[in-house]
Amino acid sequence: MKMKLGECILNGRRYRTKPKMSVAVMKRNQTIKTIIAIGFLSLLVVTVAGSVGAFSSQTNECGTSGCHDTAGVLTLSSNSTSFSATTGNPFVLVIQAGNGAEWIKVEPGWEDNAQFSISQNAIEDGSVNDTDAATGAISVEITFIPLSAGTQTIRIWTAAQSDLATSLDITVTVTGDSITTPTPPPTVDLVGTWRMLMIILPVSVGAILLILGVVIIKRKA
Amino acid sequence: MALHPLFIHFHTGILAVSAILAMVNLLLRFGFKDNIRTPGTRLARLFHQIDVFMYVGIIIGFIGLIAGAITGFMEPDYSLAALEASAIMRFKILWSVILIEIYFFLMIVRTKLGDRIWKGAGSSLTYGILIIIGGAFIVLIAALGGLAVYGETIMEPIFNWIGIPWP
Repeated sequence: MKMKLGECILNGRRYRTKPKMSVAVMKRNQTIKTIIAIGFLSLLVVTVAGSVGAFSSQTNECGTSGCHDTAGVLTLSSNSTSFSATTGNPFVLVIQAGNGAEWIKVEPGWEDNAQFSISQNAIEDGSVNDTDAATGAISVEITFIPLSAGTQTIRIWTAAQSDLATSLDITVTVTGDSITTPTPPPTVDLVGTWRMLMIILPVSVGAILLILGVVIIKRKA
Repeated sequence: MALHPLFIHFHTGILAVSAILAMVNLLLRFGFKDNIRTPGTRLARLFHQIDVFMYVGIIIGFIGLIAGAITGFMEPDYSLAALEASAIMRFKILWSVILIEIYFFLMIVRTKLGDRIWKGAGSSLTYGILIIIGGAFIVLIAALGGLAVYGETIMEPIFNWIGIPWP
């Protein structure tokens, strides 16, 4: 029986020894798979990153390019847009948004909002604090406590899908002494950390000692 | 009946003394190598006796730690929830488990190798340093126990002096 290249004969039977797929083909397939996987992951990242802009958890100010930059459709008003206040004395503003409004937000990072203690930063249409039952309309009472003196501007935004947004600035002339609000220390789950340590630490110490023991005993053997 | 106090003082003392003696033996092993390798010399005898004391101490320590842990969990005034809620007890439990591992390791290695453990520099250092670390932690754990029970401990001025805050 004649033997060909890539074959062997065992007990009279012919066996193929050459791999069905050459290394070059396997490498090429591997590259294609890798490119597909990276492409898919990149697409996923881009999609997720792009969709983040529509989430209400965003604290960036609306009206920037590509982020609720279509102004004038939604309506936004307040019971007062210019008045005086004293530090430490709370005042209530009735904010109303309509014509399809989905959210009202008053983030501390906008304009002089950080100079006030604000009772609620984000109100969704139809939520508990929204006193206007109609869909696409929000009415809410927000309590502000001025923290420092000066002419302060409160900036409020309302936003909705399709990049709709409208802002409202309220000027408050604040008098009185500045108030410093103590920042509470972050709460730490000590028991949770300890429970985690109760697993991690004995396991790692045990592993280190085991390796150490094996090395010492083998060396001395 | 509170059993825990009956099972903690003996091995705590033995392991604390073992830690001090480990320092002595490390000093002899590295500073007086020739003397301790000469059979019949006073230093060789001292070295050997300290080694035996430490070996027995490690075995007693290992058994004592397990007994102390078991009786600790049996304490009527300290339920598991109460133990978890106390920072002192959490520290004690965690390091007791680590110490049981350390003394188990020392016991096995010393039993397997005998006094050959002191031959190599690496094994001597590992053995000696682990006994010192173990002794330091057992004293700390005992001090924390004293703090929990009596509200004060003999270690308090030392730690205040070093600047380590109590949990």
